[in-house]
Amino acid sequence: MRDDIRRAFDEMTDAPHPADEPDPDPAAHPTPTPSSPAQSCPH
Amino acid sequence: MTLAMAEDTTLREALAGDPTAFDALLAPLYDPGYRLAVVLLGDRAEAEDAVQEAALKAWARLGQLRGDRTRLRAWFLSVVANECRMSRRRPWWSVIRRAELDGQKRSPEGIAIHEVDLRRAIARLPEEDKVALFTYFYLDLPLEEVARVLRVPLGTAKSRVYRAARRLRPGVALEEVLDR
Repeated sequence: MRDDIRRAFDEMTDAPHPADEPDPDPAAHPTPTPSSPAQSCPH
Repeated sequence: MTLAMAEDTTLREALAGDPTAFDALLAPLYDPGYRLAVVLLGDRAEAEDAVQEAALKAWARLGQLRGDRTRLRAWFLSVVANECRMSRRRPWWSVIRRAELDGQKRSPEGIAIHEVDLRRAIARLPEEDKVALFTYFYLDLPLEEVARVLRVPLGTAKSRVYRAARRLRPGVALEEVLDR
């Protein structure tokens, strides 16, 4: 059941589970900071 | 210096108003927070906005953690879930988003029917059930943390995870759901 639900959430977020496929280049996804609230979040 | 000491230092610096330290604390949580927001809102742009707002609120309310770094993940995810709840309460959301979501019925072609059904079933669940399933099954959080995200006692969190699972698969055994 856990695997089925995990796959469903993968599909819903259109991204593989982080444990299954780590981001090869995390630097390519800037994260928002409180000092730059206009910046978008990592996706 | 141990990792725990370094993290405590980072938290202290963030509490003292250092935005770089705050960002370092939250960096690992943006992705799970974003995914949770996508599940709750069904829209990526809305999810980004919700996480952004949640980060700003977390920055303003970091003192709520009382210096306990171990509570950060559950606390931030609860702030994200609350922000999503607030988004959905805005008057325009129910009018515009509901119509869009209803129109997003993807073709099941090439996808196992039960997977499509499962996604639709999850999408129809009450928000607290989605949060329970997502944090327990997807993020693999221990039930104690699931309870903190939901802001309910541990026993209630267990019941909610089980109830949500039964809504997806009636008759599933408690042991199969709470198998760790």
